[in-house]
Amino acid sequence: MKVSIIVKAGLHLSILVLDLVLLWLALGWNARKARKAFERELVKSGMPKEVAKRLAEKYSSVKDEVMKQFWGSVSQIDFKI
Amino acid sequence: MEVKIDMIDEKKEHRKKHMDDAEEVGAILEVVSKEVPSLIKGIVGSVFSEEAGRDMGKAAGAFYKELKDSGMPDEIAVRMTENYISVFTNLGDIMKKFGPGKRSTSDIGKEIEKKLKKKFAEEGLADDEE
Repeated sequence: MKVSIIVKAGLHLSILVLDLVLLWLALGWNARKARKAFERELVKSGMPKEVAKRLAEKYSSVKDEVMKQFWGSVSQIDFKI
Repeated sequence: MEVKIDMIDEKKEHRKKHMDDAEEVGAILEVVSKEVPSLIKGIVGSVFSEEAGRDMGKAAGAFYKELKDSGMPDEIAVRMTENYISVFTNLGDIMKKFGPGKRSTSDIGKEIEKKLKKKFAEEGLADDEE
């Protein structure tokens, strides 16, 4: 009984970790695609390419901020109900 | 003899409590492993997608173009566009709402708490805890 509970908890924990890793990879990929699209639109509107690139980098820095906030929140979770 | 029986009862009680705790941890992990990734996916998807990037780029581009058309010097137009973008991208303040200081009022916290309570109620753990 106790072993099955531990196995079940371990399984859920592994699923959670795997999901978070996949999410992190997807986030990186989506951020890259979004940054490229953002840059393209700025260039289309007549902005110099270097400036557009700089602004696009600023946009993609949101990803780092999201990750920082997320890990900050995860490290302070307590499971009181 | 009676002392021995009491000790056995105490041991049984102790073991039962540990089993309940283990079950509770298992249930928490089950809910968290289902709910947390989907919540993050929703938040991330709304900000980081090709479409979102394109829309944001279109808005910023139109803003820059208007400034340039109205005769604004290039340097100032770029700086103003930068400020305009930072309004969209300043997620720090939004994310702080989910931080530890206001956790009890955050939507994510409430949602997880609700799901956990539901799960415990289904498994009859809520009564044991109270």
